[in-house]
Amino acid sequence: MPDSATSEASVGTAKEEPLAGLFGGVRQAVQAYERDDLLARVVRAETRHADSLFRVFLVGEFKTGKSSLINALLGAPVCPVDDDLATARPTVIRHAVDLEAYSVVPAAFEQAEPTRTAVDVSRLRGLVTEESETGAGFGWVEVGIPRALLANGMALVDTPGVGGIASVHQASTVAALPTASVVVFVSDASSELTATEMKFLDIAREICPNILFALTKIDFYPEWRRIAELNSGHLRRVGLEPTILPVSAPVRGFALTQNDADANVESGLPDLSRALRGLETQEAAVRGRLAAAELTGVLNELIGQVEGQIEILSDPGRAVQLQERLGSARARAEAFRSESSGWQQTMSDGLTDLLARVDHDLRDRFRSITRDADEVIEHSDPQKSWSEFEPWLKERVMGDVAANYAALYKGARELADAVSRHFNAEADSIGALGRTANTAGLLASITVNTGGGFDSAGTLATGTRVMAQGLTVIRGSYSGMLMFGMLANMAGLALLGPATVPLGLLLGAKAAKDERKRQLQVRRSEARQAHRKYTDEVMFQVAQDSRRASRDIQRSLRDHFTTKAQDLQVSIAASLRAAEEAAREDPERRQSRVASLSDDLAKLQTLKSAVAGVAAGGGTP
Amino acid sequence: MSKLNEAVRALLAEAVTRTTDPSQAQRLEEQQTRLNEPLRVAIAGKVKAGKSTLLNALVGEELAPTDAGECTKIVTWYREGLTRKVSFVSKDGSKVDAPFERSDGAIEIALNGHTADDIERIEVEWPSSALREMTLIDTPGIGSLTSGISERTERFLALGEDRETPADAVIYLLKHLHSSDLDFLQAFHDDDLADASTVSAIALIARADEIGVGRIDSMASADRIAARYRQEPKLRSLVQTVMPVAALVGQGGVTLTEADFRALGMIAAMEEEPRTALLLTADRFADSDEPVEPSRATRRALLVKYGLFGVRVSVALIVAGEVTSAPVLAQRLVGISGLPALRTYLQSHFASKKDVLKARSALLALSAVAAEQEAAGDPWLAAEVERVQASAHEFVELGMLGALRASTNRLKAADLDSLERLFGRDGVEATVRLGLDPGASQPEVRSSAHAELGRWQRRAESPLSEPDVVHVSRAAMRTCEGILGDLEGA
Repeated sequence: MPDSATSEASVGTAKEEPLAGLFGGVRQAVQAYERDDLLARVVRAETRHADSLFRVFLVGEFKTGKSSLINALLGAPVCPVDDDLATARPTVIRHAVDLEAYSVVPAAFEQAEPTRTAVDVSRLRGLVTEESETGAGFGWVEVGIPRALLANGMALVDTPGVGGIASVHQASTVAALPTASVVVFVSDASSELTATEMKFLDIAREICPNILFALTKIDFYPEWRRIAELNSGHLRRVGLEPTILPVSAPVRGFALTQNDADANVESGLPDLSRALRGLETQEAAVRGRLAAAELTGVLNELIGQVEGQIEILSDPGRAVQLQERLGSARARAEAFRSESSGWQQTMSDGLTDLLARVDHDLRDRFRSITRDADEVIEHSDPQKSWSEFEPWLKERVMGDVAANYAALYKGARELADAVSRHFNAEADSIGALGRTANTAGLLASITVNTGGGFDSAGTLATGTRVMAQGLTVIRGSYSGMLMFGMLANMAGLALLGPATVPLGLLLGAKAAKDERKRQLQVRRSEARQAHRKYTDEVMFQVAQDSRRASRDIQRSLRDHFTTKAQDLQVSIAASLRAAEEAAREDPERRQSRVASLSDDLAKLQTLKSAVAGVAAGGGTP
Repeated sequence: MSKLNEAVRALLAEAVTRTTDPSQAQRLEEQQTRLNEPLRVAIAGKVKAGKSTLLNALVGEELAPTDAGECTKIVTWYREGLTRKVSFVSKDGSKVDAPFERSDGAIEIALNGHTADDIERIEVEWPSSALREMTLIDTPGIGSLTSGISERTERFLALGEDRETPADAVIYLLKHLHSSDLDFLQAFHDDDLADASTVSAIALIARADEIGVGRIDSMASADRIAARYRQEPKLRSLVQTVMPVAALVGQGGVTLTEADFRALGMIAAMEEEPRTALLLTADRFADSDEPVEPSRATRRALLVKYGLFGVRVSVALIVAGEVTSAPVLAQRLVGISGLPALRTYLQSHFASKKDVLKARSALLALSAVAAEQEAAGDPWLAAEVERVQASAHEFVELGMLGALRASTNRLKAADLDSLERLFGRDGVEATVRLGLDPGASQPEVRSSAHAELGRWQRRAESPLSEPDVVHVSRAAMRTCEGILGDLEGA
């Protein structure tokens, strides 16, 4: 049944083979020159390249058919579908050789790994839908299934609807969005996009720029084309790319059982998987280019070293000059690595700023929530209004929490960009030191290493690269997936005591009125305390999570750039050492050394142009 | 006319003569007229919840324009009239006749230079027996992207500062339970007087055929969901009941023709495989080249009139041999739509409580005026309103019904049910309150009322009863005494 999908998807895997071969070649070369530092870089790049997790989030109001859409996409009933009960726990569906399922519950402590328990696939319904006790919004479910669509690392995430009664789902979905590569926004053809949906989109686009729109249930609503057009209009008005993919799960089901190719096209699902695969390939291409750039950098260094050696061997008079320049470059590279260097300052100042800004934003939002809640209570009788006040408050709080997360994430990405730019600028200037005609070969390697020279590969503009880098760093670090369920599981508002007795018939009119007033005051003050307790708790939780997230971001940024700075320093030191060795070389053997080095140089150049070829093809030859 | 109604009328009349403020006088006079009018029932709900379709199905004529976008943009009142007439009521209260024409039955009104913003409401007067019982009010959808539309609805239903409600009762259309639905219900619920709004609001899962996305068993799913919602504490406290309705199917059933039946019969006669393929999607059904008969145009018309669900159900019924003639199909469709159940409910719950609900609306308006006068130093009206309110056991009953639904009471479900019935949940006739056959004899009613009285008296006097149970029991005793009193009087 999934045959058609299989044949379509399996083509993707072969495409990255050439790069995989080049990793081996470059590894051999650096090992031959005993450059352990470069070897480490190659290995790191290879690991990063292999980690091809591509998360696709399906989000939207509840009961729009997200689970049905996933089932139709995979041609298997992975997500429980029910006319009544909605999905309450997120489900992550990824590739596996055999069908398997896990229940994942985040650990209570920040750093600990989440607990994964294997569960029977038949229990999924109970775990995922809102009826179940265990599935009360805590943690998520992971399902492994053998499907070609997922074979390259794509994972589909089925999320609880964002607008339901428990709008906590909205906040937890937003909190998890930074881990998404693509968001598929699902709405059904019953009506055009609503204000609530547009509000959610507005937040989501800040976090994940790749958004696809799926219009479901087109089999049932004859007017779906008009709805699609109206939706396009709404999207265009807010500046979103209004490409809407109309899909029908029942038609796909029909196509699969009847083996009807036309119906399959009619279902719109092939278009959706093509779009997803397209984005996955695009991201793989960016990843491929980043890897190719890293390899080019490594090769350039090695080439620079060899060129330098050849130069000194053939004209020892230049040795002193070159060594001097390299020496001062090394000094600057050392300073560059240290805590007091400019980019480190940018980073730590930026983080402090960001945390303060996000914290202030949160406090500000909660202050106005408290004010509004007080006002509501002042103008109503909590005993009567409580059942509506509670959901109102929760929705309001979660909406603001979501917006606050979005602010944190957006700020973090901007910071990553800023640090990246600063870093590259300084590293380039260190590289420029001692850039003369004679030493161009050697020093070019340094600029390549830092990113400026990357453009010479002619594949990716610096800005895009910085962007991609920032995204990768943060996507890797952000503990967003842990947020799933955390908020949902938080203690609710404490309920008020039992309803007090209306006294109208027992007391005289005046006395009853006074007593009623007094009781009302008591109830109001209880209500005020209750909502404060709730908002305090949420704020504590969210502030803690913000801190954790920003610590994660800080750690990732620091690791990322410190490693690069270290690479720069080690590399300059190695080049210097090689130059010194070359200068000490026995004059007798100089000639033969130059000959063998020139041989190596030619090989390295060939390797480099092979890498450049792959990079130019963008990983999609 | 009930004693309560007389008391309210008398109070209104006196208040009109006493007030010196012309705007207050005008408001009070409006209330006087309103007491004589049919019950005003507003149909409200989110955008595209199927308000206009329901209105058409209730009236039995296709009056309200419906389409897939947001079409109803202005609050529209449909009341009974001797002739067909449409008029605009502008913000300042002035009323002008509006020209209109009908396309496919639906009334199309030329705005004639008016904009949706300066018209307060459109009034449609129409000769219709359905409108004799109640005036229906069609409201623009809430949660609308064109935010002006939402605001208009909120302005209409939200109880502004003076808390006068233009509608006596609300039919609220839900899709799937949604938080903004609750906000909306709350706005209607938010008043002090007798906690009674719950009593005058019901929720419908409209477009119930959508629940299963048009699968044949959609209505069964909708029934199951409605049953769950009825138990949902939050909804319980806001509405009296939750029912599923597929208005389009019902309306289709009412207007089913022999020609439609023949066309559906032809589809049913097709081979199973091409039939399944044809009914798979709305697009296929409307546009497919096969079959030649019924023609594409006919099929399109069927789709518009019955919806894909209606077509699928009709065909399934004919295929199964359960239906062999147009009248039977019409009857089955109407039955499936849930409309008869809704009508019965409206009759027994809204119409029979009309007097109380109207008196309540009038008292709400009176207390708003009273508050103004009290602030101006004249407490007379406030005291009078309080007196009428306190002496009316009807309001206590309404309040009890609301409170019983809103609070987590320590009463058993069976007790709760008989209390709600006693307080007039299902109707105010003695037999209904006591859960007897409508034809029960006087002695039967009397002995049953005595039994109930005794039962609640024991609860009220038991030292083990909680204060709130005692309170509810006392109110129940009073109701029983009222029934017995009426029997003596008769």
